[in-house]
Amino acid sequence: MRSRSRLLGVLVPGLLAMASLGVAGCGSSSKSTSSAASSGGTTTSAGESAAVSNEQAKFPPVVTAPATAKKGGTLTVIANGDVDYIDPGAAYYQPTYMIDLAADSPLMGWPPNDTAAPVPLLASGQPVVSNGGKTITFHIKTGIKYSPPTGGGAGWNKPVVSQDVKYAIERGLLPGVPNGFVTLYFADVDGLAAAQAAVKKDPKVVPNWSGITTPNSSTIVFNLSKPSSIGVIDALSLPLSSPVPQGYAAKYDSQTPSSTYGQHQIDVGPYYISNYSPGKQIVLLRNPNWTPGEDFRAAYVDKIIVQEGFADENSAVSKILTGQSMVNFDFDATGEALKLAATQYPKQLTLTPSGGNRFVALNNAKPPFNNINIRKAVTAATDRVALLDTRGGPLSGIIATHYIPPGIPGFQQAGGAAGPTGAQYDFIQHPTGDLALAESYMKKAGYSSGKCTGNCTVTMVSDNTPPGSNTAQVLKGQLTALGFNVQLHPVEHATMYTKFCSVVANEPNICPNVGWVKDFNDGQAMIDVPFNGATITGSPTNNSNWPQLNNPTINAALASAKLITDPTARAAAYGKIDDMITGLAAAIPWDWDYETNVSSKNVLPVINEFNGLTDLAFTSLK
Amino acid sequence: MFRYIVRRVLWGIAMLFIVSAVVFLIFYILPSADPAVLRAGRNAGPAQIAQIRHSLGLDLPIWHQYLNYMKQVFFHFNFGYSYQYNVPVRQLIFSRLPATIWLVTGAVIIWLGIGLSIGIISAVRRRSLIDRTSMTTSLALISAPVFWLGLVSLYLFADDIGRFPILPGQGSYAASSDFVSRFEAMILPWLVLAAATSAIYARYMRASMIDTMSEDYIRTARAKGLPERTVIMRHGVRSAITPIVTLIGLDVGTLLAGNAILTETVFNIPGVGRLLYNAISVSDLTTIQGITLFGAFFIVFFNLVVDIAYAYLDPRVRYS
Repeated sequence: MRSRSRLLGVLVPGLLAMASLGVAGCGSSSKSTSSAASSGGTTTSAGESAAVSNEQAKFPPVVTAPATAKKGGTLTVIANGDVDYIDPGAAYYQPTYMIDLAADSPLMGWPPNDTAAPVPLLASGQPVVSNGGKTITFHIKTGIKYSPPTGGGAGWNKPVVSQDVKYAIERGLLPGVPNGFVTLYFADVDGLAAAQAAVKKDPKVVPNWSGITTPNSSTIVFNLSKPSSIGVIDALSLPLSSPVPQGYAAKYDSQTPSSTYGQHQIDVGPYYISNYSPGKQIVLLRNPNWTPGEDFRAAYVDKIIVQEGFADENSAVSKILTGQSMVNFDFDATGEALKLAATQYPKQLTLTPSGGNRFVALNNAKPPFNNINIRKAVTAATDRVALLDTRGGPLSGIIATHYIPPGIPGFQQAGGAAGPTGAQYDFIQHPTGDLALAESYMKKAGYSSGKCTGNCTVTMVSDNTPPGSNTAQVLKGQLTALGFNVQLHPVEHATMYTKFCSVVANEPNICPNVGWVKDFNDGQAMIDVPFNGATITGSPTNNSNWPQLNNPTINAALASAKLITDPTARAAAYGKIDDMITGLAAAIPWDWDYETNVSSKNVLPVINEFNGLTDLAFTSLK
Repeated sequence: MFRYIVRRVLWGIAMLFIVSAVVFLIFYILPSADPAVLRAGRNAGPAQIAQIRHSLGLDLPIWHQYLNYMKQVFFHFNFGYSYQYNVPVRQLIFSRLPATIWLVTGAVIIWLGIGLSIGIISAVRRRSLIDRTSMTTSLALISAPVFWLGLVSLYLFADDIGRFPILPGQGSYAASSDFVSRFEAMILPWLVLAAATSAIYARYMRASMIDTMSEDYIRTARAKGLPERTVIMRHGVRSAITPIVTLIGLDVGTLLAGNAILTETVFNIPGVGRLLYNAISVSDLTTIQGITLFGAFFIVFFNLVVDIAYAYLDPRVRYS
């Protein structure tokens, strides 16, 4: 099952490898100027999100708080599991960001109705990019104070200074603060190698990262080796850059094997984490030291309780719909629960494009799927409507015809909802499958009967819980029709990735439950990592290029597209690459899914369009 | 008796060593996932994973890892660090134990009260309508899976989603803050957990009572003119209950060890069983190992308690 906990960002060791090859980061014309960057985004989400389905239009998300929103009350957030890390320095799950968006203040942030580009949050204004895009200067707001610490005790009564932001980023290099993206998006910041060497020498002491300087207490400067400022600025909207004072946190960061700062953290957002019981609940209270108006967040409710452990998602959804003051956290309403919400509680359901996709990864590196005709045959035979039905049908998403989802630049350029046209894409143009076409491709692959004969055993490793397990079963049946003998091995989600699908040497022929979600609204964030050959070599035991596509033409095109700064040309380039990947039938795209959020009747939910989840800092109670 | 207790304690310690070694071997030689990769997160690079593997001691030889682990357990009562929650395993287990103790205690009281009563009545009124009805009902309850019973009870009686919303539903224990609300939140889980067990105890008690009531000393007691109630309760039940005592020890020990996993999961009670479920689903090996060791301890301990109680209940039993 691809739960929300798997809607991770794009930060993958593959980009590390690419960075080491001297590839420049992504660019955007609004931020690559030498003067103060504008606040306009590189693309407009409004134009790109034209592929809104009929179903989604019935349950649109509210992205601004109503004028009648009232302060007060306790909001209960119903959760299946826990956050990945309560420490904002290590957090990387989208549901965790629901909490972090309310409690933390990175340099940049995302108002609920803004998906084009992040806006200043702790920063007092847009960053100044100079030196040919290799120097980024931020000024931070003054007088920002820290909250009481999680769990009580003595906190930190000094105001936030720029050195706190520097320390927050540097601590992400410690093994005890396992941040998955710091060395990726900040790979071009000067001094990274020396900082990493210092950590290797003493993993309990946060190193000094020389490329990050603080000329005074309200200024922080990032010095880059390449003009990749766009990616760095975007990455500074993630919780890692929320300030952490060294004088307070160092004693926790020196603990082994893991920093304990998360359990004693101090926050600067409108809420703070007052109590954290792992696997049980998280309690957020109003931060008494946050001043309304100091940033764009509203903070209506007085208290937020994340109640964890609801293993049965159907009953959890029912509980929310029939109860009071509740919203969902790390699970979507799917299947019968989704239908219940849509039919009986339509005003309590919202569908928001997740900015992600789901696809069936076919292992291009070994037989039989190293043969393009067999891949095309399998794609043609797949009934993607049936696959979507395993997740709830049209209410859960729309059929994907390529990889960049609606709302991301490059989507329309890649063919939009209909997908790429032309005879060379005929295998992807039949959502319910076309067995005759599939058989024609099998004949081209050398199987004169149109079905696989001889050695036709393929291995498939899937999730062992619904809906992922259901998707795998449906797919298995479809492949059997082409003569394949599918050996399906359902395993735990963690096992599926860490032992099989993400391990190059162990990857089976088919990984049916994979997908990707954006970090930012950019084609690079959607297709670079999952389809770039460098991802495979960069991290063979933690690989996210599940199709193991290593096509020199595509690799070169991805490397070139990253350097394009003009938004129109950039979108066109990534749209074209998307079509190239589709044309190779590297995988079977089948879903651009929605975040299906449910809320109780007395809740006025505000959905943050950036991650498609409830924005706790803007949601209120009637 | 003292020597017996000492011998049992020593065997218990040996058993814990054996259990720990077996669990260690299973999870470290045949792991379901890579703990260092899980800890590092999905997008960590090889260098980061290697560093984390080193900090967790996973790059040491297996025997060295086991020795380190056992040293920490026996000399420092330290069960390691949860890969999933980034807190000491001991802290996790102790934070979950109260909920499991609540659940087990209430369920034990209910299943003993119901099971023993019905067993006694059924035995005394063998082949009556009450006997046949209770034994048929017990068969049905034994056959019903706990998780099914739990879900059905939620969909019938939970105050949030139930057809007849009379009792607190899923997650209410975690949301409760005082004794009364906690008590109310546990009523459904107690009943569900006690249902099948009370049925089993009823059948055991019935069989044991039937055996006991046919003994000569029961006839003697009746011949002496003792009231029937005295014959049943003081002479019959006292003998018939000894095998039940053994059962209680096993059941309580295993439930505290995490066997209430299904009930805790269905009702979202943050107990040891639920913790074990979560740990298994994310391959949090240290937590699984810690709970298993704790569980083994509870089972060994309660078995010892039961055996000692046995000696006091049945004067014929003497340990040397």
